[in-house]
Amino acid sequence: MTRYIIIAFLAVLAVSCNGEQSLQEYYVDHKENNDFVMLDVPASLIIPQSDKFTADQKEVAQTVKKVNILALPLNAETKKLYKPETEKVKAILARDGYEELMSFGKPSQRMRLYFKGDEDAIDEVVVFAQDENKGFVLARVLGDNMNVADMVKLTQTMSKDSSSFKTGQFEGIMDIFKDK
Amino acid sequence: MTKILISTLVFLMGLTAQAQDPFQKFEDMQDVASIVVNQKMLKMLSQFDLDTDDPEMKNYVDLVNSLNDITFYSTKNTTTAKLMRTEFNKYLSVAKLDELMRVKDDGKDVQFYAKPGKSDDYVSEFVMFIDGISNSDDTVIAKITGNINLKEIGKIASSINFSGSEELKNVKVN
Repeated sequence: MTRYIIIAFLAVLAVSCNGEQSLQEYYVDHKENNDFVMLDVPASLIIPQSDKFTADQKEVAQTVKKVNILALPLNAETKKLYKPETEKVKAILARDGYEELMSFGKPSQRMRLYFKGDEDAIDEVVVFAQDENKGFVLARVLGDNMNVADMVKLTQTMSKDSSSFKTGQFEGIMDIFKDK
Repeated sequence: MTKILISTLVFLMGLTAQAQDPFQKFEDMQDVASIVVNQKMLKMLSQFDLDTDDPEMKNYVDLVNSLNDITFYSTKNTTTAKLMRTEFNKYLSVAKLDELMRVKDDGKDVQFYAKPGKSDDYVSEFVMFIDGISNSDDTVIAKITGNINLKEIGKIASSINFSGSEELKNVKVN
């Protein structure tokens, strides 16, 4: 009898584990899916290590590890995916230890900002932008003890030397939000 | 016995967590635009310009630091607007807010309420309701919590670009 209970318990556990998808797993699951656009950018492409950086600045730049972008551009075929997929993402963000920083917009068009970690030592920032006619973009900035104030200072230095700040990598992905 | 006690407690905790923001449900309604800014976001924003020497900026950082959260909901839909009014009136009686002032002009009806804080100029919660039903304009609920200096609240208006936020500039303290 006890054996059956244990087996049943394990089965329930296995099922519930399966249902509790993390954001990382969500990314991995959709990597091979042709309806989605995926972009993995190592931090070195966004914040190139410049010789002009001081030791402190280098340290700040190194707290950013990489940027992951997953997008679902809507067309006749992917339209039906919008609702179930946005709900899946929202459910993961609500459950997977993310804290909402802010949100704005309306149900048909909204941007949400989440983070993980401490407010002065951030491990992950997630931007979730959705538009019921165009699709959604889920961007994650992964890092290790990232600090907002330090970042702002660093970007200020970089914008003085604007050639070192390469945003070109993102232009392609932003196209899906342009009016067709 | 203990188990029942704990589950009741957990259940009650769930209830209070839900009752915390009665306006949250508007976020998912069609025709409602919203802004929600949480405390951690405000804390991060205030880190932006820490080493600034500009007294104006420093003032602003202090203001941002004193807030807990900011929420704005607005709609032009009459049915939703009426629901907002009902919800707002319900909230007034539950949260025991004091009326600060009320402005009626050009068919616009703006009401300000607050929960008293540590001194006369400070409130722990500030709520604004703009009734736009009669002149088919935006109906807005704004709620700000924190340790808010009423004299400074107009400054929030300039940083939030949202329907009705400019009304905050009209808050006057005697």
